Amino acid sequence: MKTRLIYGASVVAYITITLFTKKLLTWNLAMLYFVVTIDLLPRLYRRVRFGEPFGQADL
Amino acid sequence: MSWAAHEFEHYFLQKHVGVKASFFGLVVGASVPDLFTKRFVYAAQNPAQFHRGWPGMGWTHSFIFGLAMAILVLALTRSRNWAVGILIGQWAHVATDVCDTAGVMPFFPFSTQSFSISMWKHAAASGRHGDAAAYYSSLGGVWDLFWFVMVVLFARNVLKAEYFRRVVVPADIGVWSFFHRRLHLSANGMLVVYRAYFLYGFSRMTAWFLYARFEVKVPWQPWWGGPGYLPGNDLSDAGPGEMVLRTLIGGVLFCIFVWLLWIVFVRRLWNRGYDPAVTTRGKGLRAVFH
Repeated sequence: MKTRLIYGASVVAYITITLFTKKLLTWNLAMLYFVVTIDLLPRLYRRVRFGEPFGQADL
Repeated sequence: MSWAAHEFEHYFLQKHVGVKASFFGLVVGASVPDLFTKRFVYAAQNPAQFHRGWPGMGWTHSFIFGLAMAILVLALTRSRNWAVGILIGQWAHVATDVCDTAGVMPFFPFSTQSFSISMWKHAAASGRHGDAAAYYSSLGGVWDLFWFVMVVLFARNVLKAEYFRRVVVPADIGVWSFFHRRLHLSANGMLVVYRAYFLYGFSRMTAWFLYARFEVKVPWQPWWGGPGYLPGNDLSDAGPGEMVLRTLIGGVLFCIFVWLLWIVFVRRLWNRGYDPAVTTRGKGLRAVFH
């Protein structure tokens, strides 16, 4: 549920940014944007808030 | 031209190729035709001619370009999964772009006839924003929505984390290992990269649709050949019969050419290529689809 919320918030923010700036991020920047907002920022938050390790998870 | 449909198609194709093609191969194949042209299209004197015509960059939207790239990749990397991914991705892009008024030259150079079903107008002459507004005011936007619904209804399993781990990663272990080891992406981060094209497609489809409706407020005219507020942009003055006949002749010549290439050297390249451990290929179309 939490993951879906993060995905949803990221998409809504992307659409809002696009509408306000009238510029659509290109596909490569979009990929970076989604990785940062859906994976890196939540990991950073958990790291700061709960002290979780920031390392890679195994495949 | 199609917009978000090109992103959604990756996932629909992924469902049908499974471990027999690289997902990134599909993405690269589907992106390359516009990668070579899109940057310059809006500045061109005749955008449709430049994008799809000959003389122009229309050859990037022909089957032979995808074939040449796939052969080159097979020769250089020996990876069958990458070659198949690029071929299918590029061919899907060409097939999709048949729908607008500019069309494509699928069998260039054997036929330079533009083939189009004119579902919506190629509107690059209106600039990037005008193009977006026109596309999402025509059947183009419906076409994007159609592919979005197709993925959600019939291929949603490919978006799941379990599918990603079981099929997508093993089909292209080299690239995903690179993401993991060199770029330090977590397993979740890689899953986001995999899903990003879908999210990107959905986001741009929604954003540009809202832009067309509430920002520039152009009329929504989702019927054949729309939107009506723009002039047409046909590259060919041939009638439907003539267009089909010329394209068919080009298609026959193209098939003979592909068969000759296969006999002369592509079969040798294919046989010396390698597959990931999880991939087993059948004969004919089963070599590519499962």
